[in-house]
Amino acid sequence: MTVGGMLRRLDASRIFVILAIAVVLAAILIPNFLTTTNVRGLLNQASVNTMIAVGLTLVLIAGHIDLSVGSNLALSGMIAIVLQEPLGVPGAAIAAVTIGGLVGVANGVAVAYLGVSSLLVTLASMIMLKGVALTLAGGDTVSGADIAPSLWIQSRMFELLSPTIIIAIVAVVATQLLLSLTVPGRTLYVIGGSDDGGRMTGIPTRRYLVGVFAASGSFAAAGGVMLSLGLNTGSAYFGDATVFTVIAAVVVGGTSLLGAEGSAIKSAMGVLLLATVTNAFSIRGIPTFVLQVFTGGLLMSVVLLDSYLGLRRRRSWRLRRIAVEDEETLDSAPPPDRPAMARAS
Amino acid sequence: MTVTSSDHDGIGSAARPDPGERTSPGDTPARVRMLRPLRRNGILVVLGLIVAIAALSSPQFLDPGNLQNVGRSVAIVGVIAIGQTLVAIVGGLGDLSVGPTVSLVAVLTLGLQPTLGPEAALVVGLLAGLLVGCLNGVLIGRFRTNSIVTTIGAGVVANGVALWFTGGDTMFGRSEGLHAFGTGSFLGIANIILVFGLVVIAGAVLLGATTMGHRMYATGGNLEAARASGIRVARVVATAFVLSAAAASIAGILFAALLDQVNYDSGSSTTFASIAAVAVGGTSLFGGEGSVLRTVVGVLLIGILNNVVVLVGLPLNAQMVVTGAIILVAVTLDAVTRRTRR
Repeated sequence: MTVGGMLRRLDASRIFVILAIAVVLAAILIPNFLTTTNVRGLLNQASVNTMIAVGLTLVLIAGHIDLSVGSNLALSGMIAIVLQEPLGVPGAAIAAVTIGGLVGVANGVAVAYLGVSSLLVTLASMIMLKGVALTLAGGDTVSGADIAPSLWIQSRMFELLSPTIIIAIVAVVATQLLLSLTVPGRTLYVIGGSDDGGRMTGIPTRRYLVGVFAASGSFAAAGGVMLSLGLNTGSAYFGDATVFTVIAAVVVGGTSLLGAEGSAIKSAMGVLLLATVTNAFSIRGIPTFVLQVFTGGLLMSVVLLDSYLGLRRRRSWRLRRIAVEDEETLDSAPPPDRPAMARAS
Repeated sequence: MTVTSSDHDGIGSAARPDPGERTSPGDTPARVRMLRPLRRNGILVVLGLIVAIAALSSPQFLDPGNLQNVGRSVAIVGVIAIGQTLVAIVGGLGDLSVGPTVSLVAVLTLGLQPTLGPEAALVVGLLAGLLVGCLNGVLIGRFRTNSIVTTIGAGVVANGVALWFTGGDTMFGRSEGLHAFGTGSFLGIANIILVFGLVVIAGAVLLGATTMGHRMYATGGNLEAARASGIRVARVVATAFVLSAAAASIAGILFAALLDQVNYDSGSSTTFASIAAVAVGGTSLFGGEGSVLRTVVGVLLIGILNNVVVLVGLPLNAQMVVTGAIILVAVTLDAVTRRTRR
């Protein structure tokens, strides 16, 4: 095996190596890091972003992006709190996740059937949902009347776990099984690799895309419900920085922004890595700005590593030039049955 | 579609009506050709409609004072959006580090005034902003890293530096001159609007009348073809990101000058606002087409809508819903007309 091949193999599992190094370093340098209380707190915090990362991974594998997850999280959390009175806690949670999923469906329809770039669609829905969340609360935070669900959702189970953490683990494992073992899961990689290729082999690409955005919306909403229930508070400002943090985590985990590459478990590990670093820094009392510089540096090192290893070199430094290039090559061929513009422009 | 479309088709290329506008593919049926002027100027029609509706629904709208308000409210985001236009044209999607760059430049410009004096503080602020741009440019241009992740990373770092510098406090201006410039006007037009105008002219000249501008279109239109024809694409891409950071730095100084008090997070909302303006104007984020004037129209469109929302008495939060809806309508129309064009 060549050196390059070894490096590439190491790169494929880099997130496990980096996470292991981070945990070992934290355990050595910080005496209180490996206590059950701290680890459970860390996992509790990471579980919300894990939910979002799982949904975003699906979208990224299919070759698209969803910027609306942060606003979706804020709005769904707020809905879950506001609807507690009329619907009860489970009813409110289900309603919030359903609404989040419907937002995702709307995103997906605009992307798949109207052919609008997912970056722009979800940018627009990000702004709109934030506006709706602000209007709903009049710019304030809303609090739930009953503190009991809040206490339950982060309560201790089996020493290291809590309901929040269990939900996140189930979401990660289920999504990973879907991606690795089922036909729809494998199909996502085909679509992400080549939209037209997928369509030509008879895959209903557009339905898949709607499904992927619906999943992303539902996962983000579930994350919002978990966050807001945990804090017993809904706020339009939750999730403002979430998109950036989660994209960073997912990319560090090894999911490509170019599509057709990624795994739910690695994305979850990426979230855990950032949560570990954040937790370790805050226990040591290291100021936030150092954390930010560190996180930004980590992110840039990872993309630099990606391009150095040439893994994505052929596909260049931008999101795939979807449709445009594909169509120009298609123009000489007989036109496909359906309009070939399911993706971005 | 792309500037290199004439490579792909023979017959229709001569029918390309206007070489300055880089949106036309050559070979198109007559029905589609008829739609083309509409498609190309549809956004202007929308802008005209909205101005008309605004003027009818609120008598204050056409008041010169109110128009200045619109201009003032969009000038800062507008300056940034011109930089974003260059990034979009080279195919870099968007520069997500502009918000933190604006904040960083603004806090340095105000916070260093007591120690360095206002002029030197301004220069240090500008240099810090350009440094962010150089970082983006080298990584994305030379090492071909993904532009979204790279600019997120650079933004997080810039934000961290701004937080370190301010320690979380608000920075207040200590110089009368800068604030007087930010709030002042020249010949009846607010200074920040004039600066916006100068940046627009600079951007339009760069794209329309310089070799670098043409190389930007070529690179964004088809990277490999541009490289094959001898363009140093790494430099072109890097230039776009450096100029985007330069625009963000100018915006940061305007921000500081106008408000005279900023904190490490003041500029964060400008990132998506500027990308939205570019997209609404109809410049493709995937490269090869677009213009500064389109972006100006996009900026004005969003600014006027937000103004109207306030004038007719809707709650401020409704602004975001309206802005989001307009972006959605604009990009959907764009995608649908593109499809009919084929």
